[in-house]
Amino acid sequence: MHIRGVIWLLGVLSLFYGGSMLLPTLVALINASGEFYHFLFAACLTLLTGLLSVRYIGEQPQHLTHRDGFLIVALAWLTLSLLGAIPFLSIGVCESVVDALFESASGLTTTGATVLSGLDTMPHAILLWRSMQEWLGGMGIIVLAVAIMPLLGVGGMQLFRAETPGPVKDKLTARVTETAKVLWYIYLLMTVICAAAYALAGMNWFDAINHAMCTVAIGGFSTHDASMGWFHSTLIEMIAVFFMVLAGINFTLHFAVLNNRFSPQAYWKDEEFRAYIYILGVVFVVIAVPVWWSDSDDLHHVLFNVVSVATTTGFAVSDYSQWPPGTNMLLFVVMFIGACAGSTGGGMKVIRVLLLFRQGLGEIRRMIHPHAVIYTKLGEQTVEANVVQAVWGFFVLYMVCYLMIAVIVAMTGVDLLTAMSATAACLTNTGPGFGHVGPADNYAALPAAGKSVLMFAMILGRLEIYTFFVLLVPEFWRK
Amino acid sequence: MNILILGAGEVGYHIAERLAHEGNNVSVVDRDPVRLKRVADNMDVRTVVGEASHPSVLARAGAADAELLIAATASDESNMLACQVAHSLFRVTTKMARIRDTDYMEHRNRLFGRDDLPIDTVISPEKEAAKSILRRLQVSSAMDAQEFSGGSVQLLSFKVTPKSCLAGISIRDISESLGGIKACVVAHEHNALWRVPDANTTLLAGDSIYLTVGSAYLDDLFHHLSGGVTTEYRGRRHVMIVGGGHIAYIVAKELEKSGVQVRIIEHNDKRAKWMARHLEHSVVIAGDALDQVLLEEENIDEMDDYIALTNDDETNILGSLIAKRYKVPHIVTLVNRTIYSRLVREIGLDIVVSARFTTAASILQHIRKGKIYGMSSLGDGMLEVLEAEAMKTSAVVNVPLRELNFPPQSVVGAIIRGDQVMIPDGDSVIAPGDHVLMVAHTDSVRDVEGMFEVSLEFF
Repeated sequence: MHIRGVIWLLGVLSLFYGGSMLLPTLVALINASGEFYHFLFAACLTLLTGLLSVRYIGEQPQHLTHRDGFLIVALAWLTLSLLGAIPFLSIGVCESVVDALFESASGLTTTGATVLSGLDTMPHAILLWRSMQEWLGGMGIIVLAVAIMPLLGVGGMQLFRAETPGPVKDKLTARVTETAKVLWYIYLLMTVICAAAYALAGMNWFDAINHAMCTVAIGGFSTHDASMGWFHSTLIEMIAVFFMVLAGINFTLHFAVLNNRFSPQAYWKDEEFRAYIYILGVVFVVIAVPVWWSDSDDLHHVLFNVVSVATTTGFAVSDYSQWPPGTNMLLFVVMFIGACAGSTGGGMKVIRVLLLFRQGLGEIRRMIHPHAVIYTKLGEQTVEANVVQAVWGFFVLYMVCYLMIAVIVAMTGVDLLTAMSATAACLTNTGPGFGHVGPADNYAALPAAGKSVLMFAMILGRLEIYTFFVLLVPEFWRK
Repeated sequence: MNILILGAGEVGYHIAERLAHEGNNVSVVDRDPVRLKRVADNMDVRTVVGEASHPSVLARAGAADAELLIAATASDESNMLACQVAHSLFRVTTKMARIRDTDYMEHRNRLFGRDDLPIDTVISPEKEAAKSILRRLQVSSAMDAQEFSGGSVQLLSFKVTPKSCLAGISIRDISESLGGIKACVVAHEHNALWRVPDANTTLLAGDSIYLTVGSAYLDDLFHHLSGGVTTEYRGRRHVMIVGGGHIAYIVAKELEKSGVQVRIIEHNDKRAKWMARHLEHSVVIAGDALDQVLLEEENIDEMDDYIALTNDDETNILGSLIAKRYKVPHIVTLVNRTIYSRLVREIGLDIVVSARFTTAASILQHIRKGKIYGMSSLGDGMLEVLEAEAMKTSAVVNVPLRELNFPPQSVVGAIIRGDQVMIPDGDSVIAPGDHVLMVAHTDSVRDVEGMFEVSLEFF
């Protein structure tokens, strides 16, 4: 382990992060509001931390092992959550340190669970900073660093692997720097188009940019307490639905389509994509029927909320807890499936669920043909046994983590439904849950201890458990 | 003609034998002296030991004077390279190469050509064999079916069953007993001996025949012949393939595409794994094809077809016999050795595909370019089918068929004039420009070719 190298890299990331804080600082300056000094202070503190680590404490690493990769990624997410909380605390929108940290972590992990209310009257600088955190966290700030800094090229793959979600990670190009760049270009392009679409549909530019960043990051922060429902526009809702679905697709697939003269058939050839679309479609229909029958909501609201929860975004247009019982249970379940691997979404990822399902079918076939050679397959590709095993392991760990965290949250004095759903919403990076953390409420009322545990759940979910848990194994630290 | 054959494996051996028999100067190259010795002992050819693609080896084998090179080693890459060497260093005019990998075959049009890899004709024996097996599966009551002249003429093979309307009928009366459908019996098998029948031959139960018929009458023909031979498929068709070689892979892949449920039994564990990886819906079983418990576990008695495709003739024959005992309606057996292919018919297995005949036929077809368009072999390789164009100067034109002096054991199966298909009788006349489908005994093929004034042409 190369502690000084790790510190150096964390310093570099802090410099990036501090640099990005200058943008809300600028907004505050233009708006001539009092937050200017607070943001300037936060930015300077972050930049200073970075500078100290890079110049004096750390040392540029020559080589990164994959153990270093895990350590850096896990520490980076903790450090950046910490530094990102400074503006919230210093301006005073959050009452306690825990609240500020919760808000910051919720942003970076693209969870979108908030403790803030009165967003409509909040200073623009703060709103922008929240959205920016989601946007940076969406594609991964470490992936961004790999993209921008060629000197990370050597160990870049270790970092890339530890941060991007999914069971199998492919390089799209020969060099990892190029891969990271490609991913960020697609991400940026999607954000720009989304913002333009929102603006054309009637949002003002500030709302359009903020919401675009949070949509494409599958985050779910809004600039209004009523979230997307504030606009009362079906057009805006449908644009959001489109971009949420788009951002929930594996970015590797976007790359393949863009590279292949925009041939959208490439999407349909991908099994994970097909499963993703089928899941969204089936869940929508199953929920739409009882809602339409009981006349409890408009169908376009149903579509929006289903896509928002199933992709783990967490925007809301109406209070889905008013829907017939059973529909909420289904939303709760699809939250766990989440979006596709390699997207900005959370959850366990469609591909893992699909693989487990296939593996199950394979076991049934094995009973019928005891001597058959049976492989788990995705499309024409055979999935190696060790990948399937890793997915099983992931599934078990994910569920164990979920149950343990839910128990701890409930012990801090939260009712059963709220504890179960809040933990699910944070672990899957969705945001709003049910009960006291439903779309109409927020997380402010939860006890501080509960929030601290949930904050941990968010980072655990974003880094897909393994990256974080590997640090807890004694073997990891042994020479 | 000077011909150079690379590789003395099953395919190379058979082609060499065939071409040498037809009076060509053949040289065979292989790196295995034992295999070459077998070639040298059995036929009049020159043999050279060495790596097929090495210039010095090719030079020793007389590449400088060769007009035709057939690269049939087991390695695609060696074959391609040998063709390149023969082209660049020795200016061999015509080059044929055996390519089995489907990846290469997918790009064959852009990969092979004058300015690219200099291969004039690509042959792939496994694909030929697979094609012929698939053909047999498609026409369920016929044992074999081949199309000629772009599909307008069908050449079908049937077994005469005791209940069949053909049993005891002489060739002369065949149209009558088929309800007036014009059909011509071009080949007849009795006691494992294939002949071209004459008008007085009587069909007996247990005999097999080939007959030509216009594709338009195919349904009527099946209707008349459906005397207990046809199999009705209720629901999904189930096929069991024994052996997981390259032919089995191609067959299974094609069957998968048409929604057939395929089971493959492969002895070799590694190969079974390979098959399981590369096939989508088929069930691949690692085990012994002759293991009764395994076969019953996989419901052999409920299969619609059984295809034996292992490398081992004995396993194929025994497996097929077992399948027959379980009353599988349709059995295809791959047999390589000539001695077995006659035997198999005698012990009561109906359908046999011999890999080497299908391959040799397709290679010979390429060699006999010019005015002969289609070529394939029938009846364990004892007979050949030719589709030839009648030239104005040819002796066969404008004379009623009964007055023509055909070589012994040869017959005109169909005359194709434009879109029109005629099943000929003694009064039919061939016009210039007609395509004629002929069946002849192997010994008479050269004379038949002579009648159509076909010389061995390249290009």
